[in-house]
Amino acid sequence: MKKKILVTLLLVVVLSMLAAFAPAGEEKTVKVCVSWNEKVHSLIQAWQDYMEMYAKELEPTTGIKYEWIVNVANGDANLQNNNIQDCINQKVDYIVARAQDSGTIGASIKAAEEAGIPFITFDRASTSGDPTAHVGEDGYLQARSTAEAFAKLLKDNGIEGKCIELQGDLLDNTAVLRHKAWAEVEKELGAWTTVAEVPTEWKPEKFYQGALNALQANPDANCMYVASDFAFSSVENALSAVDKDAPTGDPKHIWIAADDINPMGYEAMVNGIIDVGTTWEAYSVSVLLVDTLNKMVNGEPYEKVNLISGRLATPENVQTLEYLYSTDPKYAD
Amino acid sequence: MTKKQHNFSLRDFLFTYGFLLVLLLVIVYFSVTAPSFFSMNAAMSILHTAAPLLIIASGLAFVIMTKRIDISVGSIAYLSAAIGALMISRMGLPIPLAVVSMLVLSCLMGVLNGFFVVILNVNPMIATFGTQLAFRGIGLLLTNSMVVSLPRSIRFLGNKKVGPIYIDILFSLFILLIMMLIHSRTQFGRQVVAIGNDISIAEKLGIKEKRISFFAYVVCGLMAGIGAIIMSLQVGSVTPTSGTSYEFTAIAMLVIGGVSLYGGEGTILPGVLIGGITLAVIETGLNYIGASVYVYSFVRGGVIFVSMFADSLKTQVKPKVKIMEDEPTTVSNAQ
Repeated sequence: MKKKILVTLLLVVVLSMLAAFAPAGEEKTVKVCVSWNEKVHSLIQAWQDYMEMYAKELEPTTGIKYEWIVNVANGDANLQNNNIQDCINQKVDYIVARAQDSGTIGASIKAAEEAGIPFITFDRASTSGDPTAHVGEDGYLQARSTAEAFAKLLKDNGIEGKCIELQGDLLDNTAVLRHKAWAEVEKELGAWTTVAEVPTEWKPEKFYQGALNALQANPDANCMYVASDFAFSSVENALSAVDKDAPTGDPKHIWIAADDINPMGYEAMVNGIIDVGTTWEAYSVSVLLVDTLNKMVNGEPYEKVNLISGRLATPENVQTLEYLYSTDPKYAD
Repeated sequence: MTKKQHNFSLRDFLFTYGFLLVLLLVIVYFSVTAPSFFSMNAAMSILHTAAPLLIIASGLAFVIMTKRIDISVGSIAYLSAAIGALMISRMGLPIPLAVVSMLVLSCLMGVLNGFFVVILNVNPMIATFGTQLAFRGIGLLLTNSMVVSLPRSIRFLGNKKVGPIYIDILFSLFILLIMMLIHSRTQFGRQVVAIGNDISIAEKLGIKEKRISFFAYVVCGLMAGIGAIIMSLQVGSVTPTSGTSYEFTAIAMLVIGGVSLYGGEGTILPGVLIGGITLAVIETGLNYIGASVYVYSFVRGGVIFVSMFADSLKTQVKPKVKIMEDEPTTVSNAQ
């Protein structure tokens, strides 16, 4: 009898140990094609790194092993469509794409759909097709958060704003949304008047030339909205050329709202050149993408549109924001 | 010697001085529509922003005058700028060493283009399209497609002025002057024109066509490297999009300035300068009048199309048209 009890106990212990150390299920390998439209700044590398890192962290618990197939289209929408077609030909399990052109990515979405491959638009939503899901940050809410805080800042300081707006590439839906939010808040709150709209196509040379020309054409301009701070050195050089590169508190200071808080923007905000901005999240968006992928792989219900809001940053709080990729030396410019 | 024509012809006048008229009309238009446009500040800003491309276009002019083309200048500028920025910012090497390396490297890229086009006889458009992709690819690889900032200590050089004039304006005018002298006063310059006019006649005259055309590509590469230095200093960083579409802007500058895509015609001064200023005036003027962001591409495209069309028409009536020249250049001067 004692022997039977001992064997039973031993069996229970062994089974418990097996249960504890065994993987949750059979390990699945999932091939994900990530199609970047370009890699114009370190944020994109941060997204890539964070999604790989987070997926790796989850691997022991989820049993899902991701194999990432990454391609970059260098700012060419046609090349991006070709890259995605290559992924379809390789029979990947999922496609994640940051569109170069929101208006043409629909062709790739359709091709993936026909091949039975789920398609997730990342960061930039499609205006030309219906993807399986979208993961990103809400560009409209981001710019609105910045604009509303900027309006308050100007009013608190008794400033009647005459602003220069440096717009992004209007083929990019996010740039369009940022412009829309800026214009709406201007109309609603009346804290400033936009005296010049400058297109930059997200090119640093155009940020520089456009800012310099607009500052000279509008010498009474006292504020600026920069749609993204990824090439903020260009804006600072333009400010410096007209002797207005000065921090808050200095009489020469131009009030600046700039979105994203990329490494150059972070530095400028710490130095008091940028007064307010909203973060374009790297870590949280990557986490959201991997969580959405996991749900799809496991056949669980998922949200079709997955958006997060950025965090408002000012010179006072920017150094205390957690998971801000700009503070990671790996992504310093 | 060409016999001078004494009868006034409006057509000949327009083809000869048309680009000057266009520039004047554009200036008048923006001066009327934007109150602060006709000012010293705006003039300096126009020349300042045009400075990198003026230098790049002056090098490209030599290639185009030989009836060839180089569409890799933007990528040459990007790769040399990226390497220079990496050497200074990441490796902490002395600035003069980085500058010399940039110039040597840009010459080598010109050598490579010359090798493909002149020695291997690959079609210039195809060869330089290939190197355009390759050079940018190498740059993206080296920088990991990231922005490389220049140290704050040297960024100010991009805005440095002597009185009201930006230093890079003086520098670019100096380079244009040298290029003009090379074009009009040296055997090399005259031979470039002779090759562009008629390659078979040039060869019969004993011009070493391959050698001259090869060096035209090297000069073009070197100028792209010099332009890259100014470009990087102006924006304070090098991004993966730096220099993108510079080749087409430079070609547009040349065509507007009277450098024929059919080879053998055109000048550095005033041609390239006027072409560059015309494009910069349009871009700056649109900024000044607060034009809709959608107007820019349309205007740019329209100006380039009209210039190309004028160039094509000019070629059809070539025998009657005297091109504005630094110095009279004829095939007989080639040797």
